[in-house]
Amino acid sequence: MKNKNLRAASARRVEACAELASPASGGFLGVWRSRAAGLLGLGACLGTTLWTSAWALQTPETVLGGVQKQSAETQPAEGQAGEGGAEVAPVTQAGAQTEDEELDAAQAEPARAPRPEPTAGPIGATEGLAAPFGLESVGRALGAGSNNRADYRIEARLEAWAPGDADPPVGVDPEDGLERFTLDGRLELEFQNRGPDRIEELWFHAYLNAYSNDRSTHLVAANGKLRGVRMQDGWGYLDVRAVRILGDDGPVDVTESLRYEHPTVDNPDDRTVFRVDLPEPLAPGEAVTVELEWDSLLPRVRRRTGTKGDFMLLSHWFPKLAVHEPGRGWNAHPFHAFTEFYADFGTYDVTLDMPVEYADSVFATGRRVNEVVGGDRVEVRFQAPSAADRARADVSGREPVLHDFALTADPDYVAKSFTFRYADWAARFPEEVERAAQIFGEDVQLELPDVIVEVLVQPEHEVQAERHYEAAAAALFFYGLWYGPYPFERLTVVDPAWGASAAGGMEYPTLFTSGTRMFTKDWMHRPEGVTVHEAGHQWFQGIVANNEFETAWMDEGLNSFTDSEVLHRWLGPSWSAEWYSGLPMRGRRLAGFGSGVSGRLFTAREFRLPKLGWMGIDSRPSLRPVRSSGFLDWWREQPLLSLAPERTDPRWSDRRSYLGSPDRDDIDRWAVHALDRSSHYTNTYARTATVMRSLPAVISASVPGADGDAAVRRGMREYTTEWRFRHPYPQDFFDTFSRGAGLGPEFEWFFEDLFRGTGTIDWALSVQQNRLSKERGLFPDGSGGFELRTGERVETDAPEPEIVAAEGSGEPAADDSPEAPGQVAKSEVAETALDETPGTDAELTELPSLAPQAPPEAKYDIEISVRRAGSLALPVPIRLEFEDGSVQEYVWSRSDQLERRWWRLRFESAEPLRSVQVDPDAGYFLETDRSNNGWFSDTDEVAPLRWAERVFTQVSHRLHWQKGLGG
Amino acid sequence: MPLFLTSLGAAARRPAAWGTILIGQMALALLPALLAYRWFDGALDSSYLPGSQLFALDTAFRTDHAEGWSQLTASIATVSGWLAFVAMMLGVFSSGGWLRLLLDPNPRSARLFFAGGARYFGRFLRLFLAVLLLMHVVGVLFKGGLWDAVVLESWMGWPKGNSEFADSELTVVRLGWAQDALYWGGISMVLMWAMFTRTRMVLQNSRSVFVAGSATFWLLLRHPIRTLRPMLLLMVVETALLLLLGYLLRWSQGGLDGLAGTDSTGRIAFLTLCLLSFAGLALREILHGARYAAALGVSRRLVRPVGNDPWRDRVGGPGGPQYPLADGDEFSVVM
Repeated sequence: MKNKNLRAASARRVEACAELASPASGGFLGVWRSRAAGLLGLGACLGTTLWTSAWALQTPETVLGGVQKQSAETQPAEGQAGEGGAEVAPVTQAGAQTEDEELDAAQAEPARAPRPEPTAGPIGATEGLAAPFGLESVGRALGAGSNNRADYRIEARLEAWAPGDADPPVGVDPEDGLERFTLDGRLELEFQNRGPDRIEELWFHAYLNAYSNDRSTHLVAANGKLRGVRMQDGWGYLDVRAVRILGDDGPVDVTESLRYEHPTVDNPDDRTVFRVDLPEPLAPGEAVTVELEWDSLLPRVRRRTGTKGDFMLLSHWFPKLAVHEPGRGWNAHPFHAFTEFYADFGTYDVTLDMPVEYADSVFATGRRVNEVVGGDRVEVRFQAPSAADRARADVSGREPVLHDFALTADPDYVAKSFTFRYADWAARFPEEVERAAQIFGEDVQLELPDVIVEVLVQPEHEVQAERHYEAAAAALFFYGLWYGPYPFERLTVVDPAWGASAAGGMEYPTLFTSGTRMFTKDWMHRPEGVTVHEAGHQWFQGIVANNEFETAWMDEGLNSFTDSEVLHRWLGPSWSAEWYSGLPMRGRRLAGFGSGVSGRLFTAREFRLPKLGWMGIDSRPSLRPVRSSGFLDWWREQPLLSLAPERTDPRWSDRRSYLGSPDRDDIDRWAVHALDRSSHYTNTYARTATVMRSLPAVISASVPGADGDAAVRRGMREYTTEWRFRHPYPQDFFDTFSRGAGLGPEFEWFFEDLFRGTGTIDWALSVQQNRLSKERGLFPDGSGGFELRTGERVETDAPEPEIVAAEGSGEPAADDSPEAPGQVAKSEVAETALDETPGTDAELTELPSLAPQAPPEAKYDIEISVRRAGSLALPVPIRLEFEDGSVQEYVWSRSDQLERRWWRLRFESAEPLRSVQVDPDAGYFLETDRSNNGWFSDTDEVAPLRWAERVFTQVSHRLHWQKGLGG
Repeated sequence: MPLFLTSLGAAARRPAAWGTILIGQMALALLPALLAYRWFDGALDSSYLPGSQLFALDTAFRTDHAEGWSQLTASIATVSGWLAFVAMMLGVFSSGGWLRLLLDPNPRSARLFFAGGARYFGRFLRLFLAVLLLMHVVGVLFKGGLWDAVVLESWMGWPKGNSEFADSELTVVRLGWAQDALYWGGISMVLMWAMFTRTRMVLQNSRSVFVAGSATFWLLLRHPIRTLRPMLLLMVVETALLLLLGYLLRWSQGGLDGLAGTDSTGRIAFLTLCLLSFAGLALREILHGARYAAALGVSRRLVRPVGNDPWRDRVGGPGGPQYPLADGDEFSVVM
């Protein structure tokens, strides 16, 4: 068996090598690789496969035959070769389009500035990145996602192997002490081509192979570490044994045509994408049934999928069809560490044959419809969506379908079942229901169907089962209220086993993994935070299924935006905690105690001793009298007395993450093209959330009287309704959202600047408020001469507003300065653009009605200036509050900000200012520094003392303990 | 009356000891506190609504001032390291002071505290080094490779002591508690041994840390109940009082919440907080002294008095022969 597999594998590998050597090695759009790249690839590939070729016994003709065939399939369009032979060919796979159409499609690609290709990357994501192929991005195209359908029927048998058992399966190291499972499967896939293109081949994902070696694209991109653990054992694989096309004339074996492909990231060691030829092209509207058989060894779970002991969480465990997109061909990216999934919608009928210990312990996407125990085996069958789900009419009018199937099994699971009922939650949050009704109107049905929430927790976490449910229910309620109902009867929450937390925090249709630890509290938002987020993915990617490889922000970002809103409404801010022996104490240490070598020395944590090389000891010995240990730390620090309270608003937490990397990459960028992992995660999650959360402020400031929050919610509702059970791309989102929110084309700059730019913004406020000094000296007397004033203010009957030079522009002030005698004694609003029409460059004017009221006897000379740093320009309100309680508010418009980077207001007032605030309602989460957004006449004298006291107490208690060491 | 209560009373009646130590300790802690005050004063300035950052620093504040805050905490950490060394020396000094004052019938004399501290400083410093060495040994036993090899790898069967091979988190948590408890117990034993050793050295006027330490070790082995009981009871009392104070302090801190935009400045709540913090520190110091009093009480019953002539040290020396008026009387007649 082993030799046979190796021969087959080697044959395919050599074929793949030959493809690399060919000028026409295919990518998902039919890649025209340069000859040089092909030769280089050939060399590398042959180097790694030399040993297998001895087994392969393939003749050169066989290999060449494959090459010739492939060349014919992927002939590049004429005239599309780049300069110097570099390929730029956006050739869709052969069949559907003519060359002209392809060129038209390429030319129709919007004139978005081409991004420079990364030349090197520190993380492997861009290292070895294939030269550009095809349409890298759908750009501004609308409706570019697939509309095809894939229905699966899968049968799989799992066998357990434990250390000490005889005959370890292929790929298992008996010495690593790990329990392992093999899975042999067979699937029938019915694929319906609902697109406009003829399809001549089928591309599949074999994502389980990401864990087959440490040179896979996934592992290389992750620097060999998955969730912080270097993967050194527990490898798994998926090997396709046979592929047959089922037809009326019987099955046609196409296994020989199977080839592993390496699109996007040119990595011959990666086997996460393969393709087979169809005997006959599949015309639009036609369907084909494919049968696949495969063997696999399930990896020790290090990220998302695999086993640990008898726990298993299986995702992307079967060969899964990639997505054929109209005009783009097969969208089949390798499994990259920065990315997730993309697949067609369909149904799943899965039967699992497992060891009997898993009776009643297997859960999966959809619903378990049958379980039969026989001898030492149990057979479990799942249907997804369930029959009830399929019969249910969705609000979109479309059939509720799924695009993935995951399963989990653990004999230790404690399964608790709850029922989410809308009425219960509506009673808890009536104001939210009322607000939603007000925003969406009477026509929108807000009431949500009941959902069975099944919580699978580890025995030691049983007390947290209800908290998991509450979090899932909060998501079902708020997401449902805002984005439409969850369309399935059941939702399963999984708490992975100890040692398998790498499977946690991941979403699959109708099932998601959370993760917790003992003694967490709800005030920490653990596990509530992750549970709400993963449950929220049922909407973003589960129902509205974007391409996660290319547009990860569309699910992660929009979901992060929403989950923080849910947590904020449901639980409020989270509290920080310090942990002592696994037990949390509310509060935060404010300061460290002893840092660096000297700090460790003086706090008796470590005394470094001289090297003892002469004794044969290479490592440097040290004396460590004081070590960190939970109970001792508690006694030493006295957390009840010394910790400082710390609360975190989840919405502002997104901003904090965003500011970790605010301007390295734009949001709308493939994850693999980000500078690094940090930049990718920041843009995908936090920056998208921060941008979306700032949008209400933009709308409110741009359109007088507009309810920005309501507009955003309407936009999101429109998007999540229209794209239910479909595959949107960014422009689809911008377009649909804008329509729903009622934003006209004048708001296009927002999406362009914020999603496709890297600009930042920081407003800085400066205020000077002085008592007017008495006038002394010689002043114009009005008749051309001078008069002496000696400290007494002279009032005129009708003071003329004094015009001073416009500041910032270097030009004289406009003559249309406020003409409000009696209102403004000496007022100058040099650059105040108010009430602009959104998207237009409004004239620099002032709203006279909003100008500060200048009293007859002004006592204060006030000057307010605001500067803007960063390339973004967003309309922002500026609010002045006076001691008598009166309030003045201005809007510094976008057009004015684009014209000038500062805004200044000078006036005299009888009432002193109490405060000035830029963005007073704190709506701009995008602001990179809010510390200079406010000015208050009263300073807080107690707060510095209060925080000094906390530091004092913390240090005192630790000093007390240290003193105790001395005596 | 139980020994732990009389010890507590004896320590509390010696403000010359705990007051002096408290002042010294607070003077040390004042330095990082002043650093923090200066930074917060500058960061808050007139940029924030009064009261808005009083109870807790909000997320935006922490984000916007992350860099400055990081620098401040680094500075505090560095300063605190040096202060920790001074504090340990203060401990070496104050232990002699405590014992001297506890032996004295006139407990209000700060002069005796300093005299005792100075007299025993050298020998207690040597003992301090022995304490550090023993603490390291405890660490090796319970927090180092030995624990991993014996308990995790051999007993639990986890390859390389890797806890991810455990069946459940509960197992790992329980083992962690056992480990932490053993380490904490071990360190506590070392510190208690050191306390009894100091007491013995003072009672017997011994200069040898090794001899006194060995004898104390034997004493603890022979009389574990009589030696440990008052210490454990004092620890229970301290824990209970600190918990009570902690909850009061938390309640007091709550008074600072929600003051943003109100007329209240939070001064009352802040002063209450300061008072409770001070009470906590004073309480800990008094209880520390009570341990010495308890050690002295136990040692007086169990440690054999020195067999040498009490006149020996008193005769001769500067000022001529000195003759005590009565046993245990510190007054003397100089002839």
